[in-house]
Amino acid sequence: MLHVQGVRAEISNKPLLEDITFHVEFGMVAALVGHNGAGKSTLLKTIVGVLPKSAGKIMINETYDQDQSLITFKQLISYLPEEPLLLPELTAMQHFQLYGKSYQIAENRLTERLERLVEGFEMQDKLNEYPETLSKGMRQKVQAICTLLPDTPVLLIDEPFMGLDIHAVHFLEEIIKEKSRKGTSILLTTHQLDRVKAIADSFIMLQEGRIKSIGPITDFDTIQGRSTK
Amino acid sequence: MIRRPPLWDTYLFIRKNRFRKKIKMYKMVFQMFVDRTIAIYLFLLSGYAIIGLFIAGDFIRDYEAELLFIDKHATTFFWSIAVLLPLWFFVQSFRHPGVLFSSSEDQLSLLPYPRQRIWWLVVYEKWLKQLMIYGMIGLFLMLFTPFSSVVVLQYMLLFIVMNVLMTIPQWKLFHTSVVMKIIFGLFFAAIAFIGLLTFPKIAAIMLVMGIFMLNVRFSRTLFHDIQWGRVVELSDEHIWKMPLIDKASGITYRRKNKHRIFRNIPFLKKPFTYTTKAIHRRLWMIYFSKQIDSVLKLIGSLAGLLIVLAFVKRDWLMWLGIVISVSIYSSVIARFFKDHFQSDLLNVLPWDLSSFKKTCLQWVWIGSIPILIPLVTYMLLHISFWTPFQLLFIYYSFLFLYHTKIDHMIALLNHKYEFFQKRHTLGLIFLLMIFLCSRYPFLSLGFVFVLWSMKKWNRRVVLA
Repeated sequence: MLHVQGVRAEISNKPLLEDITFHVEFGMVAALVGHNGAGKSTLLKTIVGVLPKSAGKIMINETYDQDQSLITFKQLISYLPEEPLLLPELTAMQHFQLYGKSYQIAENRLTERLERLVEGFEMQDKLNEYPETLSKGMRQKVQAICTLLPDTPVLLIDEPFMGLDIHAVHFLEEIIKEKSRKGTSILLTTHQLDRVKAIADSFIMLQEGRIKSIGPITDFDTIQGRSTK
Repeated sequence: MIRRPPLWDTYLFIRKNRFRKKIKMYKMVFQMFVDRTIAIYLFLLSGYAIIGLFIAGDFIRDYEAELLFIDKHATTFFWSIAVLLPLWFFVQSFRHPGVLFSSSEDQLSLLPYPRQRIWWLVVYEKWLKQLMIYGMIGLFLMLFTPFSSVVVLQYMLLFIVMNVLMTIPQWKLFHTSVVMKIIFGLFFAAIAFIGLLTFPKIAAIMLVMGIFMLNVRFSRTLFHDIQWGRVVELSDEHIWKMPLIDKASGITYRRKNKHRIFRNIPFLKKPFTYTTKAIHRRLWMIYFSKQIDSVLKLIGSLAGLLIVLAFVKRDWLMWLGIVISVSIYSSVIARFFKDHFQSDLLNVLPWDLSSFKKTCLQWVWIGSIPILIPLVTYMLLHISFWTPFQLLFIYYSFLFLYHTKIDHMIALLNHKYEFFQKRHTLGLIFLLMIFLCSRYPFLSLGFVFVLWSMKKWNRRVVLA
């Protein structure tokens, strides 16, 4: 379970996030929605610890506090960034191994998981390629596989469907649902609202770094209709 | 009907704007550094420089005999230089295509202008520039020096012809494999070498003919198998790397994929042996290769410091140098260590920092070799009963400082703001003891205490 309480983040005294409070239960998928610049990616980066927060608490399973030990905290989160963060000097396979080792996945389990993900994303013949020789969509797939490899209690996904072909989108949806069934708390951002409704259980709407509304996904259409009016 | 402007106009438009942008940047830097007072001084200085030019006439007259000597030998060695000159372009082809096809030209080729024509325009511009530069240098030499006009003209012609003749071979060789470059280079080097020892004139004519044939051969495939991305990257770097601007803005121009050479080694493409050590070792290699400029500056300056101090007669200065080297090297490595986890992919991944610390140490030892050479040489030249103990003391003190500073950085990365006061103080005491070793060598026995301290803080001593 991911618990975010009164989080504030700022850069040069300019607030990026203000009083963000919500939680994502075990096995639930929450969708972060909002216009460009609302603070969705910033919030994800703050949860991972890439951006420092100036106030508030971020906890996993009510035990692991980001402030107590960032190193332990990071072991419990898997993060898929909007722009792939791949190292140009490592091949796709080497990236998978790096993620595998970082999340302490045993070699045989890594092989098992890779088999499924690589096949699902149709990446079999790209394993020994460097990122720069891959297309944007392929790079996105490499990053997605990396992120989906570990079984962490929390999964953060920033714009997961962008740049992916329709087959990959369906496969990713399937994996997200599967992870949620296994109990992973998932927080994702997206602009593709039809997909949100298909996979999310709840939504968090951000506006100018603040939570504008929050609720079960069934209320999303009502809230969205109200906000557009 | 759609009318598009002629390529020449568009090309000139880009050139003008690039020039304006550069001027604007230099103007900004100038305004940043030069106020009214400095401007007055600069004005005076330029006045002196102009007067200096007139005085230079006398200066050149003073050295007339030497210049005439050079003039005479320039005639004698003309053909030898002609033989050697192409080799310079072969060497250049390892790292530069010779034609600056930057992202502007690349963008231009996306418009309805053929890439080939743009490339030729760049080449013509290059030749024109060289003609002007050599022309100006030649004119200066003819007007202000006693060099004979014939010699100056001969050399001007040689440089211009070689530049023109080598443009296409350099461009093509840049895109061939390293092995092919070496084969070509060795072939021409062999001709040049034989020519120098026998008949330079004949060898030079043969070389020029060979290069001409290469031009004909390469012209047919001028735009085949070209790594445009790499050319654009290098050209952008060449055009926009302006040290003065970098200095003023504090932002260094960096090429995106600078260390491509490593990626072309097949071994590095293979999947890792699935161990933390193997993966982390590679990550450090990638990191340090990205920081190579800073790493070389650090190692070079510390090694240089020790080399210089080794020749100074006062022993204590050398020991002070050792203390400074140990302290700075461990501090900078600790900074690198922290920086590694605050950028790129590693920022979002969980960290096994103890493993990273161990694998980093292996690179630290490799990097320390140039620093150790003057240190150990000095120690051997001043060998005594205490020398082994002194070396051990320096070695363990460095390890102690390395672990202390890295542990401090690990705490910071973990958002734990402990200062490690006791360990830092102890580190300073060890440094002081190293310095005092020059006078009281028995203090080097303190290495036992360093070892004990490391054990106390539960750090594993790596006996590399």
